[in-house]
Amino acid sequence: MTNPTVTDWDAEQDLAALLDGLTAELLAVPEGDIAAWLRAAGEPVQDTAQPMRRLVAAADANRIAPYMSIVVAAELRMSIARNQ
Amino acid sequence: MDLSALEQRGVVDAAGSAASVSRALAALSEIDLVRLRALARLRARGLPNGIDWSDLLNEALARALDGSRQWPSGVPLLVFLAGAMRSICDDIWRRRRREAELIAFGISADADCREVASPAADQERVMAACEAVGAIYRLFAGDVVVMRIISGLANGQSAEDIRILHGMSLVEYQSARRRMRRALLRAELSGLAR
Repeated sequence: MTNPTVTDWDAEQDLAALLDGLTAELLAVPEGDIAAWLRAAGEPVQDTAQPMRRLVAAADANRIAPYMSIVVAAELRMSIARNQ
Repeated sequence: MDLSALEQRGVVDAAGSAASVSRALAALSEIDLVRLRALARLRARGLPNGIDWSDLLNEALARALDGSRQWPSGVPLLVFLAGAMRSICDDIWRRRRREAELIAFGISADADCREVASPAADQERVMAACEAVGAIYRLFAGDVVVMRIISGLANGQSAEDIRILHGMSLVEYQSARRRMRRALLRAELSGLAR
């Protein structure tokens, strides 16, 4: 009896498919289930959402010259953001 | 630059898209903000060391908010941002590969006289993928039915394909799916408030 080999295993392809599948699962979880899980885990919804609200607000506030990256140079935003 | 020239370059659409993203982000519910974090943490698995989920999310938000990635009408915001993060991951690895080539071949990396491949970035990507796949499987270890579903997802099978292949009843499949989602939430959301 021979052991199966895994020489043809494509880890990148597996990971890509897994992440796509699990992303779809996360998107499909009903709000009520997430709220229930947070309650059961002792993670208050408000406390857990606040840092994300701040992160999103900061990203919005830090918008640099909207559309400049399209009009002038595609790499501009990335280089400015890196130097902040 | 007059308006028609801007329109030709998609700038007006980009402006509208960016403004819509800004408004929609401000209106996200607390649960959707939590979900967005879980999506970013999940997608960041398998990225090179030194790049984490918040870098990935920030880049997705920046592209959406400056209009360089436009939000198609009819697509939910979180689906759009999840797609943006997916393509940013590919961009990150492409850039990594390019950097590895520059290190190996210098500024003549584009020259057609290369005789030696520079696999460093590819090897790093494969190694990162192996580790990430292993870590994801470990999240569900001990639950045979969930592992079958996960394995099916890794093979690109649909939920219905997986259910039929393993002879699961709809009830058994749905129950396993709930356990899988709980394990996923635990993995990606634990310790959020700390």
